[in-house]
Amino acid sequence: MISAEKKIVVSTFDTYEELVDQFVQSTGIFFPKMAAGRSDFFRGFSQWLNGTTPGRPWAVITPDPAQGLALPNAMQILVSALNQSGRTAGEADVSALIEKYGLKTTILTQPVSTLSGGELLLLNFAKAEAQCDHVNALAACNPVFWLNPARHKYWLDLCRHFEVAGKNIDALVLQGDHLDTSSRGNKFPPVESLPMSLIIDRPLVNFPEIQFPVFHAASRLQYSWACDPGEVFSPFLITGDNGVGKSIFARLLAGIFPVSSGRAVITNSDGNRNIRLLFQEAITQLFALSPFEYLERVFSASKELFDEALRLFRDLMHDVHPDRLYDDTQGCRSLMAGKACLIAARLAEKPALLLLDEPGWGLSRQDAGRLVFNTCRLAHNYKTGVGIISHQPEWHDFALSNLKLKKIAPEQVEINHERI
Amino acid sequence: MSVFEFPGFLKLQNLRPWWLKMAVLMLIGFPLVSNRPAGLIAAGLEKFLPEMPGSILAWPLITFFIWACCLPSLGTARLLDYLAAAYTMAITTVVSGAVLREILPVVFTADVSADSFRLLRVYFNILAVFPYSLTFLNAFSVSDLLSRLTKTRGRFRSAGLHLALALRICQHVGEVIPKLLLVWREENPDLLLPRCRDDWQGISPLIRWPMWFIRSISQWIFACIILTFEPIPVMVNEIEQINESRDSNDPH
Repeated sequence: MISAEKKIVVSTFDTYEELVDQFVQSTGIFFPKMAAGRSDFFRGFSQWLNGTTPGRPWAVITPDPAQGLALPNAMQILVSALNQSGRTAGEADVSALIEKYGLKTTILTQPVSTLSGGELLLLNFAKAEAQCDHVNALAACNPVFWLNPARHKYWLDLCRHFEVAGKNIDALVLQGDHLDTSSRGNKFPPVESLPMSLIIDRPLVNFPEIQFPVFHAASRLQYSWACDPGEVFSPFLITGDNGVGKSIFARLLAGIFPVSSGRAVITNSDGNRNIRLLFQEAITQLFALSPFEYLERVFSASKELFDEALRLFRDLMHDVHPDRLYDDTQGCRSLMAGKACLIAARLAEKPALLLLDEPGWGLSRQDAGRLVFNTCRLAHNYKTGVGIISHQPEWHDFALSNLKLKKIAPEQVEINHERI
Repeated sequence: MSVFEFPGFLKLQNLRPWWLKMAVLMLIGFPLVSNRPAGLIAAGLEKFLPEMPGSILAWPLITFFIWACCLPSLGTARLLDYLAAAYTMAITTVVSGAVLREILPVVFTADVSADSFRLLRVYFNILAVFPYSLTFLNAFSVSDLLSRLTKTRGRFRSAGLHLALALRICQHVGEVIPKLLLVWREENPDLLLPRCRDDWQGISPLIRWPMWFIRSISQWIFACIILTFEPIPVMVNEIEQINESRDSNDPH
């Protein structure tokens, strides 16, 4: 547990929308609530364009850490941040800064869009430190959510840096976050287990060299079993350190990343191999639509599945009446509703497995627990397994199998299976 | 995995200083904004190879020239990615143009061969403009521009910051599209067909697919715009901070 220190004000919110409102009010920086749909986005953007600029300069860690990194790679982001203090930053300065926050220098030329959640957050820390001299304060949203507990020390290092410089920190977190000392998560009854067959035969993913606009060397990642379990039990957890390759593994299982050699296959008891994935940046999957608009789009050619998805959506959201879906901006156009709608759309198709990459992002611990519990309950009715990809320790109590990923060599990841 | 590496001096992004890079890029792109180079090539071809249709061959030659100039900078894989998108766009435009000509003949000129020539020219123009414009936009580093601006003052500074912001927004489009493609692929593995299409039976797809396709294009456009605009406020905040930090570093 991390305690709030002097000059650090921790504010806790029940919903992502309340957190974003507070962030916008404090910093004056417009931050869209993407689940509210396109008309809400353009209204907010237009208000920001016509509004006044904020009075004091802020270093920010935005509610979605990717949005705070405005340049294409870590090198450019940090050079630009360091140069704001009027001195010329070299490669050595940037390397020292990035290594201070536990990142490898190999990510300096990697496109920001390909970094993991934890790496993005740590890069935000490095950038905030670089900006410290010429800002008045730091506004940090969910500053430890993406971090493995062993890496929480980097947040304390950043706090110490700002404290020494005499600058304030406003930490905005959701209920149940590690920085929220006021409340803890809730317990759910155990979910009945669903056995699934998982074959991992040394699948290899190749990432080609990038030549333009900045050179970044080719890389590869190969997964192997420490001990083949043959069967895993849903709901299962895929866990491991930041940047170990959890999301890549999920995309490989879902068939989004092509496997160059070997294979990774998961089937349910019916022999179904269809796997669906909820990305960690699930908000992008809404395609800038509100939840109801999204369901209409996805099932425009299947009325039966649309009705089924709507029923599942209402079940996941409990009290949502169809008439409210278009209008209720607070409830049905929230991030919680967005995630519920994405899950409902995938479950309606009755896949073999539904993978949820960091399902707790943007949700209070209570909401995240409720959403995942209800998803497992509904999914198991269809013989659909559920896999949770997360480093958050609270999912350990919930999962029945644990697949722990560990890097044993720079391009080799070993998977250990543990029946809980 | 060995990939052929072009010499560094052929890569446009390595050209320094920036004005030389700009001049070379403008020179390469000149045939796309002026008819004169195509006219000269056509005249040359017709003079030395009278049996060849010079005016038709001039455009493919210009397109190949532009691809050849972009290739060392982009690399083979990236150029092929850009060309895949350019071909889709060019074929869609030309086919729609040809269909429109059949449906609305009044709008077009009576000379069918002149129209066909115009469509062919549009086709090769799109194939050349798409990779060229992306090479142009990404050949300049916003970070370098911002670093330079933090050390300058005067009236060009504000204009430079606006230019940096505009350039970065254009570059950001190139980062949004692959992200959306990944999302689209998870949702529609066949890419050009919806994953769930139980209602499409018999000949109904003949009507429903074009409607679905047009709706998808409109949603792609809005999603691209919104996701491109999404980080602008944070970008603006940073650029304002650069402006303020320089002002506060000034002795007076």
